[in-house]
Amino acid sequence: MNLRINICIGILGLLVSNMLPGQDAQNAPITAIAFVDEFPGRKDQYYNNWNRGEIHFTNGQKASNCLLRYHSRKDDLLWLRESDFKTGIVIKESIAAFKIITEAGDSLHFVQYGDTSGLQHHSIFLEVLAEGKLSFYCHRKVTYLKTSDDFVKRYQYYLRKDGLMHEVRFKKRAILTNFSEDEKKKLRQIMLENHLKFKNEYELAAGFEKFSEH
Amino acid sequence: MKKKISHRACILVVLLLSAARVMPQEMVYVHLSSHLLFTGSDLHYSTYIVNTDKEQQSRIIYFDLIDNSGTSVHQWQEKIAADASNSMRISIPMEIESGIYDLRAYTRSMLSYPADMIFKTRVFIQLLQDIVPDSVLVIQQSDIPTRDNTGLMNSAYNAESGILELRFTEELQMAGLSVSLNQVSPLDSLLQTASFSETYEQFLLNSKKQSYAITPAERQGKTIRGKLVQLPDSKDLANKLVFLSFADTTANFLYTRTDSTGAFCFMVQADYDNRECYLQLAEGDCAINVAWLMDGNNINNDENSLEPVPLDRAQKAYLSQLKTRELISRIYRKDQKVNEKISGKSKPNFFQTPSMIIRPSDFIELDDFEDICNNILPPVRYRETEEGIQLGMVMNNKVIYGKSLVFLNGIPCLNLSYLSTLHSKDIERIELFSHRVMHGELSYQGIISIYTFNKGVTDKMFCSAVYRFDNNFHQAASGICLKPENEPLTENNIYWNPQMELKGEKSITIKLRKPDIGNTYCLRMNGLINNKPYSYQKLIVF
Repeated sequence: MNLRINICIGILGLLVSNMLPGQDAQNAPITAIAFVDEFPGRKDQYYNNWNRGEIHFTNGQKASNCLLRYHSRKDDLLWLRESDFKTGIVIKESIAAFKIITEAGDSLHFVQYGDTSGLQHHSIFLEVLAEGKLSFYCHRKVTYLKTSDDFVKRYQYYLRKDGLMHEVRFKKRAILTNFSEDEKKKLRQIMLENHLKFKNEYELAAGFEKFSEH
Repeated sequence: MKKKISHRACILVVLLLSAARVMPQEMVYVHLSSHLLFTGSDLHYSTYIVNTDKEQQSRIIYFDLIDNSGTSVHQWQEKIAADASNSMRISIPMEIESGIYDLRAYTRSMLSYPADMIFKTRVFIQLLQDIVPDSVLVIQQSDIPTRDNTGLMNSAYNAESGILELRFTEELQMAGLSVSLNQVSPLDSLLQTASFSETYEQFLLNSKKQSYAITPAERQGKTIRGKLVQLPDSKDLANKLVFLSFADTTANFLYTRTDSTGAFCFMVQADYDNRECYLQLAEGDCAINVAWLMDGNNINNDENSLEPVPLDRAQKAYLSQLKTRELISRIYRKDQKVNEKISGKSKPNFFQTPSMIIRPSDFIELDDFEDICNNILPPVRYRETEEGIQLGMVMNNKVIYGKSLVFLNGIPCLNLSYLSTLHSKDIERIELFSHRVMHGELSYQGIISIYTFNKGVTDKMFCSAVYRFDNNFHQAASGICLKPENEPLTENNIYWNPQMELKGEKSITIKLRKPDIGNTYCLRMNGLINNKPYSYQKLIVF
């Protein structure tokens, strides 16, 4: 019995001695601005619940295992600081990408995209639905309608093909206009063979991934 | 039976864990171009690391120049990339006093080694404007046996043609060697240090000694570690907030808390390389007297006694002559910037874009910082209380004092009384970030970042508990040092080749110029063969 206790103490000692003080190699501190919710209790302004995730910063560092929530209305990433349960808006310019793992175990991967199509350059977060030769993104925008006191989804899809980003409507015909005749044929065939539907964004994304593989 | 098996299983687990923790042995060797140096002159050197496990090999070598009282007078670091040059060059600082110094080289994993296992070599440094000393203080140490050739090389010098031919055995034919040719001087007996092979044998004898357990980040020199104690009773300062920063054109800092033993560890990126860094205690009384015990400076010092060794007539004459020779060679030397630093670019502010940028030069001159706040910084309030000066930010029509973070030239400034002395013409710009900021576990009611025209950092900016250090890395310097024909060959070192790569050659030849002074020179060649140090030396008479 004594031997066991000694061994356990030894193992604990070894484990403790391997820990270094103040060492948190992977976790860069998150910088955020204190967040005040204008619509408390209104969950539909968010894309997800508080979920664990990681942030990849533009300086190459990352913060992992933090509680994150994507605020669709403001197009901001919220961070819940667990030490005092304060919420902050993570400073957007510092974010390169972030990943959120939902309760269902799904991984939501967002990247920051600088939209230069208009007169003003503005950055938006895009959820990555498919990535490869052909990438498919969605800007999970939600707008507040004062008249009906309602939040309305205004999702905007983007297709990156041959290095060029195209804003696309989520309609089969609109999507296919970005492809040549041969490509259209190939994409249709892939969708058909894999029993994938154009009107389901995840199935369409799966089709695009298969298209990229070919 | 069951009990026995479980006991055995437990023992096996412990053994496995112990085995996993065993760190490989590591040793550093340095080959200097010369052991007789002058302040402001260049020191060329090649470094070699021997590690029993190549994958665990450290990537950073720390150098300490230790004076005869055991104090480190100059420190620097060197990054060793697996595929890059290990030849370096530094300029000997101008402010060093004349005397004999120990140059120590070690990696972080060697910190637990006894002093006699750390690579050290003696150098004589002389202040160029100093007169030659009558005696030097020397740490007495046991006689070091000198041993020559390992039989892997033969050399022959043809005085007529000036050709030195080196012939290698098969074992040596793929090695990388550093080569130096120095004049044999009357001071050599004072500077005699262990050769590569002897220190390696000593290293093998001590192989039961475990290396200091380090993380991969430490191996690559990405950590700054130390311990904070309160003086005079050396009490551990536990759970204290510590800031690490450097002067820059943007506001950035790293923070950590000390653990129960007062130890702290920062993970740093390459942007901290070649910066004068500042560690400051961010919490508590400014008057608290603390000591920063930095890791890497705590190599055990020898307890050997110091003895003044009088220099004999020949040694003094040689030093005096060497001084004149150095002055002559400096006339011909091209002005080269030696301590070229691997410059780090400025990062963006940690809070990114400021809400407001104010340039006091756009306004009328204001006498002090209170006037500046009252007149040109609308969101900032200034007040003097019994506790000292406080700055506040206006947020939602409320002023919150003492919760803002103030930066001065990119460094967190905790001594606000220094700010009150600033005149508006001293300040280049003020950046304000008027939001409640969360940064890791810290919270601030706004950020005030002040940049002065004079980028110098004074001690007045800090509370007493500050520690400044140079996180110096020197750039690799490759290439053979051989003077052009039209320049006199007067220095102690007349040939230096940091990397003579052998690619299967059985022999090579080196064309040597006849030196202008002296005719007996010592050829030294060092390198690694199959992860073991190799050393060769031979006298050459011109």
